[in-house]
Amino acid sequence: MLTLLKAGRVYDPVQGIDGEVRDIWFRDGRIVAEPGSGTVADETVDVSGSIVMAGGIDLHSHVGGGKVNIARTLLPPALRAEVEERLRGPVPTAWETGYEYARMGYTACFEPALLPVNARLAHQEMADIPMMDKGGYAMLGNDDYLLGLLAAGTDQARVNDYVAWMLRATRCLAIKVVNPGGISAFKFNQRRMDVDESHPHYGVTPRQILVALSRAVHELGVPKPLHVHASNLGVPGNMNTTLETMAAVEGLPVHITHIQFHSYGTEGDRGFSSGAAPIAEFVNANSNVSVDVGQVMFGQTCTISADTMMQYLGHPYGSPKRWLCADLECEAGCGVVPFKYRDQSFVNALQWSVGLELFLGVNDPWRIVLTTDHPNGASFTSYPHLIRLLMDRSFRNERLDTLHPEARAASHLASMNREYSLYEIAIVTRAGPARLLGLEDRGNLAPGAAADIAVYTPREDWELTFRDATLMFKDGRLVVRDGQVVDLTWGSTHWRQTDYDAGIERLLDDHFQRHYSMNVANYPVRDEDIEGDGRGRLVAHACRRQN
Amino acid sequence: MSSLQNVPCPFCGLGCDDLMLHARGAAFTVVSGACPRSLAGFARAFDKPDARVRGQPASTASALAEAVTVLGGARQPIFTGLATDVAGVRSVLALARQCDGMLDHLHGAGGLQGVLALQSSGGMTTTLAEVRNRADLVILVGSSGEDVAPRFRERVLSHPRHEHAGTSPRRVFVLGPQGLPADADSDPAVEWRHLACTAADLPYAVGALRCLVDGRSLDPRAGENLPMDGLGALAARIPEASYGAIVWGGELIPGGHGDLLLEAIQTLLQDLNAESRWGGLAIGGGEGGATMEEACTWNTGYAGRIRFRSGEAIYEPRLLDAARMLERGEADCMVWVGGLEGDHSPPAPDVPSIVLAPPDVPLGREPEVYLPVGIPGIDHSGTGVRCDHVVSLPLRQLRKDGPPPASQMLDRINEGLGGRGVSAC
Ligand code: SF4
Ligand SMILES: [Zn+2]
Repeated sequence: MLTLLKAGRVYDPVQGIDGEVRDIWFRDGRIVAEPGSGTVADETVDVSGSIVMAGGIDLHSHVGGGKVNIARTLLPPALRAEVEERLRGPVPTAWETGYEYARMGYTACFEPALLPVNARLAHQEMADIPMMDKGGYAMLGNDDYLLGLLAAGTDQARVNDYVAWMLRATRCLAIKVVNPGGISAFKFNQRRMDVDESHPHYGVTPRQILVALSRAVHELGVPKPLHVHASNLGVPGNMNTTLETMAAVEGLPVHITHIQFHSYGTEGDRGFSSGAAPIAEFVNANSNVSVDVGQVMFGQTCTISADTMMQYLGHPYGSPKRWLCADLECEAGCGVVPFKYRDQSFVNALQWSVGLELFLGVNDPWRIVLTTDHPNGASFTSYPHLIRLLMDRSFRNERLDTLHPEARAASHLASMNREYSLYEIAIVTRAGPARLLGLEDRGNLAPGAAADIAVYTPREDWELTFRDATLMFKDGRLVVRDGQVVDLTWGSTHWRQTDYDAGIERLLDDHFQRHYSMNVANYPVRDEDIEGDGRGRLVAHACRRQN
Repeated sequence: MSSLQNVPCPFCGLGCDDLMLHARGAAFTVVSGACPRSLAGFARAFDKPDARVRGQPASTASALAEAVTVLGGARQPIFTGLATDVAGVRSVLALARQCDGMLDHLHGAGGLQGVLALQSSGGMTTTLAEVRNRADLVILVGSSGEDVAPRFRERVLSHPRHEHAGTSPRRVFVLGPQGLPADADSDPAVEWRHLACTAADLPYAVGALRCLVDGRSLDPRAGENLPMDGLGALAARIPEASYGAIVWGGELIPGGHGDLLLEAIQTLLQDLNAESRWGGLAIGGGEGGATMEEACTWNTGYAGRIRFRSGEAIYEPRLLDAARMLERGEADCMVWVGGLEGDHSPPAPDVPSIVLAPPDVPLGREPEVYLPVGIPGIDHSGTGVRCDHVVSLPLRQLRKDGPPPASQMLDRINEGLGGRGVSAC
């Protein structure tokens, strides 16, 4: 069926289209070029006056894996209702996740902390998220195997083989490292870890891990830069750690995630200050670095992280008081701590400001992505509110005026005049993340791209505008009308494929025999594990090898 | 004789995946990696089974049609058993939602004790490979390990630790009525010690241990029935451990408030971590218990014991008890979803019942509808979740022509009721 979306105001930064009135044609789930005159569409939808963008893409959202279920268990819907009026969020079910993203015009979300040994189950959980495309980033860098390789001074080629094998075994799209070496060090009862501190057993430093993994990702030609959750999350003064981390990769592409949580100084009476300015300055000066923000919003949420070292440290601040940390299968860990951000808390209010200062301080929108690190900073359902904060300076300043007075005084926000344009919003919510992920046929509306399309009707303010998509098409199918889901579809699971020397399997077999509680033969995710129930399909993307 | 390597075993929560099987007709002999449970499980074979309606052989289609009629006429159906794989859980959730049903896994309240404890206090947990590679001190509470997971000792306790964790024998304390393994004295890898107490005294024993660890004094009368010497020796070992683990089975105190005991254990673990590293590990979760908890939680927000009302899941962890509700007539239809029920058989209630189970599962009374289903991991492939909830097993289809997966039958009943066959939870 040939569909014509007629005369919308199109924002497609990939093609440089900035609000021009255009027609968008699509057929069989793909955008097509405007057919010659005389061709009549089977269906024409008049969207004049509306905003048309590609479907939104969340490149960092905790939507799958055992830790999300632990969060649901600690804050089940009935208990969530105790702490906030809305039943939904902060940790929605798989089902709710798809519905809530779809109504906002989002069509893809990516789980950034997939524990490799948990991959099969995480993918099956994500397979139950309707409407969305999805994918995972495999977590490495705290696993005994890689730490052992680095301790032995093994050459980079072997590391690359291991990373390539893991991408395939876990059906993942990218590689992530969380508190490099620190999660493992915590198992040896070490409580903090700086970038040049040695692991208590393996002797390797976070810097070495960052270099090895970012090189592997680069040399294998995985488009998505290494996804880095830096050391010292949440600690006053951690901006220095973050600056060291960004510099550690020696110019290779690197993505620092939820950088808000890593941009704190130690100035002022309370020893806690915004480090957003120097961090933004570094990002602006180094084109190999991209970031997402992890914006904090006020209210009840639940923090979920693989970073057991820092989650354990932070548990006394949790609310309500039930939390869990876990050591996981000699690969990593997880820590789940319910948390309530309060606008009358100095620290929380300043965290809110730091996130926005970063959004406004990083000049190149292609290298900063809109996230709340769902649900760590806030639920993804707060994105429309966040978009308004970015686009509407007077709204932002009004909000700032209601915060803890000392936080207001310590914030640099009042002096920042920048307002995001619709074009920039289209970059930080779709075009930018698609480019970082290397998904050429998503995040844009050029002929050949997937017909993942969101249509918004301008309303009194930007929050209302982006709250409910007027129309949303997933792979060409209309699934949302006026913010209501009207049809059900299952998206695709994207993963990144590359070759490796088969010798790595022999080495892994030996390692598994000695240290794992399962066989290497049973470790890889099977296609049927994801596609078996008829929910969505796997899409393999090739790597772009450097050699 | 054809042999199958590295076969995952679906018969308990330990999730061993190193079995070697020989085919013997339609059944299998476990020739390596065996335990009594897996030997019995893989030896099961059935004739080509028929569906039945009120005891009479029936075609699958007519049995399904009858199931639709029975379920369609029920106002308060309860789904139990729930001993299935991920696909089966998805399907039963969708069906229960479609007909405003209730769900209770065959482990009932016992199976949910861990979840209830987490919902009060949270905890500190660990997994099989962490215990195997790191733990130099293990406290087994209310279980010898083997009674819950036959190969726990072989696969975890007796296995050498990682080179970084030393070579001294692992110290294992068994607290509870369970005896030590027969050859415990001659085990070079493990230094066993039994701290005997009754199951009912476990909460007091854990409380006493907590006092000893905290250096608080204990009223001597409180310790009268407890192995105080042994608990003292254990408390002295705790600060020396480089990595400690507390391990328990499924249901800690039968019929009792096991969740409160688990909460005491979890808060002890949380506090021990202020100084050194500890984790807790449940080794239950068999009969599809862990699988049900995981898939039910991501689909509904709750691990089990829910009822659906107009599509919303309502959580009633202490009230929603299948056995009691069937007894009291608070449910007017029972659907048993099996495959992995092992030794458990369906209740024989007075209300109409629909049983989906392998052909050799004994039935207390003939149900209105019986639909044969296969064993996940033998008759069809699927995913099973291990006791630690982290690792899942790629269950394989090992033979053809067996009964179909429970999920297929459930989806077809759902279609008959006008449902969509997706877990729209
Ligand atoms: S211990 Fe459990 S999983 Fe392992 S072989 Fe025996 S029954 Fe199967
Ligand atoms: Zn995150």
